[in-house]
Amino acid sequence: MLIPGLVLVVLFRYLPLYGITIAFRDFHPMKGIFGSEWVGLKYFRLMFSSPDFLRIIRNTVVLNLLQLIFAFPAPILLAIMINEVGRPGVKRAYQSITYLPHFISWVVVGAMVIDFLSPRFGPINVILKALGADPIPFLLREDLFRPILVVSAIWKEAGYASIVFLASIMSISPELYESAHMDGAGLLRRIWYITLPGIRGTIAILLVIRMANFMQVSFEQVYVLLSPAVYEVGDVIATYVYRVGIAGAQFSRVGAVDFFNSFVGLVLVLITNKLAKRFLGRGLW
Amino acid sequence: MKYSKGEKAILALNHVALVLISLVMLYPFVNILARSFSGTQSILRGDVSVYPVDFTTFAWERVFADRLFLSGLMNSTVITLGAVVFSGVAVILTAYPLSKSNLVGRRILTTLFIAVMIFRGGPIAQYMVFRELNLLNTLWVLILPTALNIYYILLVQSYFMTVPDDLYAAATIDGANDFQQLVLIAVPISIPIIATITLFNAVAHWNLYQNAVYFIVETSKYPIMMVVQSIVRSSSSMAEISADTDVGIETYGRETIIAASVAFAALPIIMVYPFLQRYFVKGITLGSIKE
Repeated sequence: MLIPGLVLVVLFRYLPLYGITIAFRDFHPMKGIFGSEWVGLKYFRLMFSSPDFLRIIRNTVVLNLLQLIFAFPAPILLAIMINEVGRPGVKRAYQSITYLPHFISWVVVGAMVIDFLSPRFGPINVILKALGADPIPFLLREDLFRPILVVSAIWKEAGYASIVFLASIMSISPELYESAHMDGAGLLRRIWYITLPGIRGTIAILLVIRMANFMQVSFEQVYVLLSPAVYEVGDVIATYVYRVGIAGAQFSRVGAVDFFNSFVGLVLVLITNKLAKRFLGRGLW
Repeated sequence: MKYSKGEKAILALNHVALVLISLVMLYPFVNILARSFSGTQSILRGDVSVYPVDFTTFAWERVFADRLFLSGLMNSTVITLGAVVFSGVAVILTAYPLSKSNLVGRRILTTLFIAVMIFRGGPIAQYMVFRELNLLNTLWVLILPTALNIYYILLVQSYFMTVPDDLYAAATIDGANDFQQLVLIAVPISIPIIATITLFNAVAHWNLYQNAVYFIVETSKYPIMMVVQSIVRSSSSMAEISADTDVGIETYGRETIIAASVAFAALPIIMVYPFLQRYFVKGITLGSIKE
């Protein structure tokens, strides 16, 4: 009974691992993978000395850092805010509304962002024009592109991400709150000294998972908003691999980047898991 | 719990903030719906915010008459249904043996499946493999590779494991074989989780974009999101972004048509959302309970 499952896994997960050897070969479409000549580290050498490479690595890392600093805490804050709402019906309403955007495709969300920031009719620019100022082409500005990515990611994902934190908050014993209240602790103090420490475990685990995915930036989000004007700051590994590697058919050359990416990802996961075991007492497996 | 005056103020502020956040969450949806029913000139002037200006239904009519759009719709429906069925069967078939504690080599096999969650070949490697398997540019490429979501397998497996072994033993004595036990015992118990993953699967496949971009080139095979994206790319906003100043004379009603396409792409999910919301929540909380 396991056979179908095994076949699928082997075919689609393990085989590609072999396909990765394309990075070590001079791929020629006529010859297929096996027929293509083995060239060893040629493309890797090429890759490391390419300015493109530095740019996409830099963008990927910076974007991830920004996400970590701003997009990671946002759901926690949201969860705390929603938790303090008294009436369960209202609470549920806020929850439902905030995690709706998660289920919408980035194609749709991207279109909304593009229109919202449109120089012709985006709300902000309409106001600017009414005040006599020049409209701002947000998505063309190198200095604004990254913040736009982070903010739109928060809009889309914060609600859904807050579910886990909410569940965690709700598992904190109410007695803790009661006794703190009786000891004279005010609302903010209760949040700081009970709620936050109470979800410390959840935060830690999710942080570990986040770190393990450090080199990954969502292809869809960046791709739908990217344009040549902002390649310098917005082109990440995923978009580069697609544009040059697949659409541009430079399989071997970009295959090296792909391989590098997967490899780094693997290393990261292993390291963060080790670290988690050291400091948190448990890892991902 | 009694709150002091100051605390009540903070709580009130909290509500205000949450209301504002909710409005920010909802506004884009309302706006795009309004725009899909508005005259293009009004849109370009920036007049449309929450309700349609210059009400018109022509954009929706045009959208549904467009061949590419309709084929995208067809493709996505096929993909979604196909994926849900195929993946559902595959996940259940895989989770069942793994849930039996007396399976030979269980730990190794489970590790095998989990390991794939951790590292994976990148898109280029996948492209190569699909190429060899002649999957490129077919709808299958959007269904098969993602059919086995390890996360789903683990979820289903944990449900299966709640069935007491005696139940299976009794069934075997009564002459039931493996398949019958799966279908008649394990599955009915796990309906909630199967419903949940079916839902997640459906949403994910309806929203498919990345894999389609990578692996499909023929426009007739485009799923709906690719069609919508190509429409959006032709919008005047995007044209400005791509510094394509040849916008010149706009195709009549372009902005409204774009709004209608985008609104339509989001519609199915929005429509089922109120009814199926609790299943969505279940999915993620089940995952975290595992922690």
